Amino acid sequence: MDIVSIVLSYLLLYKYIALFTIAFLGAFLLPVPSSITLAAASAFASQGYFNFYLVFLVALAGNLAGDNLGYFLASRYGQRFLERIGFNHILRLRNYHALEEYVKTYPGSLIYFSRFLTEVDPAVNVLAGLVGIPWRTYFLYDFVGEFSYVALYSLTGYLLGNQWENNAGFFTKSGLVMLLLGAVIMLIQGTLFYHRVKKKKPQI
Amino acid sequence: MLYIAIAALMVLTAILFWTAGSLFGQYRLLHSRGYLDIGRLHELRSFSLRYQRFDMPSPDSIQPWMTYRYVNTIFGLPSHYVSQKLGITDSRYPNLVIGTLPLNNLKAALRAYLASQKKTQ
Repeated sequence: MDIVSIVLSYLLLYKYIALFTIAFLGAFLLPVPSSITLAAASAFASQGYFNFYLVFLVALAGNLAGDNLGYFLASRYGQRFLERIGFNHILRLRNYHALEEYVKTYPGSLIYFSRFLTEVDPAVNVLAGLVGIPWRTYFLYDFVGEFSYVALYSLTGYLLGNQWENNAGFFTKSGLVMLLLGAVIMLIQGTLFYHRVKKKKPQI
Repeated sequence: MLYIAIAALMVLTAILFWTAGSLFGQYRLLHSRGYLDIGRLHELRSFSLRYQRFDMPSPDSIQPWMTYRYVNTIFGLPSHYVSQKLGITDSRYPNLVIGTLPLNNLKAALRAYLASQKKTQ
């Protein structure tokens, strides 16, 4: 059995506990197929095997818990961890400071759009914690992003019902659209940021 | 830098439009088949149920990763029907993954049950 089949068996056996665990692990660190699991759980809800509202709430809670754990660990131990493994020089690089300033200036789009990409999401949580984005700001964008992500995948899974497996491409394309939209917005912001920094530099 | 950013922006926008177009095409296909035939969110549940009547799961859609409890639920089987038909003695039944059991036996048992239900109707 492949990894998706194993995860789906686990989902059918342990229901909401499995859904929470997979959403949590996917949001925290591990590359588990959490999007497809959410869509599958919603499709199972349309067949009466799950409760759709509980699926929504449990998936949202799992994602938020995983995201926030990653953020807290990075903000509390991130720098110390980098020093211990000998990568502390990264924190002193000029490019890192530019990235830090950029992320602090425009945290919204980065956090919001990364929620739709479970592969990128944990890295953004770590970055947000590492550069010191205030928790309230982080949580606001995280909540709005995760709410949109869970709504998109769960409603699509629910509507597709028995056909969810045949339309798995729909989920990939949705993620790709959000990635590109995020990339376009960040590119615009990056260009604006670059010009702002350039203007700030004292003229010699 | 600015020219590179503009060029990258144009490429990304083109890809975005292409992907969105493809996604829109898929949406239209689903819509034309009546899967997304909803106007308001609160009607979602009833529409989904209506759609399922046209697309009941078939015994052929059973996969090894499914559990007996799930199969019993979606096909509306009595809880011990499958265990009796296939001689399953595992105490974990129906919370058991179908796994290595020959799927054809299970599908045949299901077809027999669905046929008997049709007859009684």
